[in-house]
Amino acid sequence: MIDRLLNIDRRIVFLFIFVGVASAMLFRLPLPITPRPDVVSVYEGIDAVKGRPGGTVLLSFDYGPGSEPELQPTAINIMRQCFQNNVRVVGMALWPDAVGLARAAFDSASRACGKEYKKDWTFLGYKPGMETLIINMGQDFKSAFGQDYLGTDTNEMEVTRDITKLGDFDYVVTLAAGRTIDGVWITYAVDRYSVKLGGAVTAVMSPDMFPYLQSRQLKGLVSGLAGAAEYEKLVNVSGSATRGMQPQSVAHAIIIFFILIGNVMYFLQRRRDRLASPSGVASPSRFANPSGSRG
Amino acid sequence: MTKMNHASSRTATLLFAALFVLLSVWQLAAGNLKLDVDGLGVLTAAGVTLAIFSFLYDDNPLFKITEHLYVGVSAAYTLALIWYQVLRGDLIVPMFLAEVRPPEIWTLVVPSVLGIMLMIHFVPQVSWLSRISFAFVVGFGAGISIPANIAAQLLEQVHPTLAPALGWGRPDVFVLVVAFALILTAFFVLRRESGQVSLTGWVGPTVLSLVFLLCFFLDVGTASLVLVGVIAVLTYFFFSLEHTGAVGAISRVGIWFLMVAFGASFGFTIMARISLLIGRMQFLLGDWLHLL
Amino acid sequence: MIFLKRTLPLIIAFVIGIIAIAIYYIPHQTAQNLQETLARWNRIIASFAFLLGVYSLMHLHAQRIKRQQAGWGYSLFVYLGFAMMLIAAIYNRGNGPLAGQADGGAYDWLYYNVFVPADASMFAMLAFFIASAAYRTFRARTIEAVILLVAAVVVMLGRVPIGELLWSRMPDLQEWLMSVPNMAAKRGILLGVYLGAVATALRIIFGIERSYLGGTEE
Repeated sequence: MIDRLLNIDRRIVFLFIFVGVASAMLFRLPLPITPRPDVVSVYEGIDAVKGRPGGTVLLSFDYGPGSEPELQPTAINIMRQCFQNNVRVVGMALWPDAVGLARAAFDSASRACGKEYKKDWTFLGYKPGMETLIINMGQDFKSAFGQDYLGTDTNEMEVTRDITKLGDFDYVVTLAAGRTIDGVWITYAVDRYSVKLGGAVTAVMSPDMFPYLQSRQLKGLVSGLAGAAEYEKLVNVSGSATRGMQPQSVAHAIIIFFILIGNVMYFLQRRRDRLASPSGVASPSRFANPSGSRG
Repeated sequence: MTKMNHASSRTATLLFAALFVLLSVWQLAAGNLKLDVDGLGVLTAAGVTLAIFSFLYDDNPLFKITEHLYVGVSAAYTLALIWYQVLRGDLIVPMFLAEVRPPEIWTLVVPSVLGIMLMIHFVPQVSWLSRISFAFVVGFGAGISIPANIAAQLLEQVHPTLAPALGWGRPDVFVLVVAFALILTAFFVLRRESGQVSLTGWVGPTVLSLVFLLCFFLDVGTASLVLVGVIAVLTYFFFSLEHTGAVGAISRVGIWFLMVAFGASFGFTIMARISLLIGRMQFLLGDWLHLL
Repeated sequence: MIFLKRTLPLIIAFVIGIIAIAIYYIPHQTAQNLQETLARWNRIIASFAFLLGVYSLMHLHAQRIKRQQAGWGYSLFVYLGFAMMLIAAIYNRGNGPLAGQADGGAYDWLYYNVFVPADASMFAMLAFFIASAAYRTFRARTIEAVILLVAAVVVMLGRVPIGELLWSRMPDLQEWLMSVPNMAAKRGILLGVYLGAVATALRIIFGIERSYLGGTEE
């Protein structure tokens, strides 16, 4: 029985996860969502821009479709917050895969808030180069982005006319799924060009960002889907991130249960083998899964 | 690459294809989806998603076809983006199509030539020319990274580790004393066998956990814990000294801090993966099946 | 010939590298203009490197088809997907490739309905595999593994609403764990990594590290 449970077909485990997540999505329960201080810092950083004449926020889309559920809700909510406070938004992408997602986010948020392209927002598109692009933007913004994604001259658009360098933006938020946040933005933009930087990262990257939060190189951090749900709470929206918290909680509970059961079975198996062995020592070959087992 | 089990892979293909067809027909019949551009888009996306998910049952031709289609589409997508956003916008238009050419046109000719030299990497007789372009790119990248990394990643990280030391109170001193006691404990429970340090002891981690809980509940000692942790972890990674005696004890403390960090990373990784699954499920159950 | 093939690239890397370090510290406008120009050149060359990557991919699959290696039929689908997307991009909603990129059209349709779901699904599958791996291999065999397990459970519970329901201070405990011991360890790792990065960059500039030049011939 113990051996069968320990070597169970992995597809049974997959089914548990699928059924758990699906059923949690179909039946809703109210769950408490309390915004954490790091998420509040990003919200307040953007809130501080409102009221400043020509206040402009730069959003850097540095993720792909693989991270869309975690970061896209945050992107849209930050834009909504900006538009509702009459703060201009300029978007750019350091990852080529992000271009379509960024355009979709701008379409959605600008239409919902009735904001005008070229006057209240624009999307500059993607340029390769990473740190060399930041250096270009830091010294001469227009030479880095002479036109936006649709080919409009950045000198002609009201939203970018007065931007000459990176430091002219009142706040920069990077939505990152890779090393652009620390390897590019923090290293090259924050100190050299006096950029106020907030971050929204995938949950995988979040533990690595805490040294930068403590050193104040990163002014705030929105981590993964939970961070996105907390941000939705701050902007009074109940979107996909908030709805995702219930299946997230259920999935975590299932995985913790699996880990505990697995360890209980493992220790029971060891005890059984130790008792069965003539020397009273458990044989190490019993611990490994048989090579023919699935997964 | 795993060999496909034919019966199992056939089952995977048939199962997921049947699931897609039946559920799509249901949605079309119910009027939730139409056979227009948007409706076909949702159906295509759902089909692609289920084809990829069929790998969970077993590797199968449906998954492989979709995977290869995706590779081709993504290559052309990136190529088109580079053409429109960079090559056309920053090179072709200013050099050939603009009504007024920029005065410093030579500043575009030089990188264009270097770029073309890069591309002849695959022509065996002259592939050495690409080394010049690689040398330029790599040399510049290495050069700008040195001062930037020293300033932003080293000095800016060392400073906040040491700065709180100027304003330490009694709780921080208490933590330092406990840390010292911990190191002594680790030193005494470590046994040397044939020059190797043996891995034993519940005492150290238990004391460390108690210190952590005390500091959490009393909200004290953060600065000193961070200093102890950073030094311990750096000591662990310093392999030029043998990890025995006091150095071994400090590096053992470093291992415990690392285990906490790796546990946290593991927890967040699980969270991230589940979030991505939730995103796909929201599409399948919401946009495709209209159940949400 | 050896000078052109081996020595000249090393000289270029050295000179450009030293210039890049120097102009970081020189506030004079000429130095800043030079940095800006070199950075722009770097970006343009980087975009040619993308073309190299795409050629490399298509060449690999062409070789598979030509030699009829195992699974060569699937390589035809790479070309099919590539052709569909490329035709859509070149057509550019009737404007052609020399006009600015058009909004909407088949290019965007393929991006949103093929590229995005395929990419997202590949990553979404990882949830299943990580759950299976956690069940089958995460064993508290040593005291270090127990520390790892406890930290993981605290984080997994504290970061989601269920943790707050179990214990009101669970999110605070999770936050403290991330901000103090996790942060200390990550900082130690970070310092080591970037010390190594600086050392590697110096090795490249001084020509000790030459792997970026490619093959070992000459």
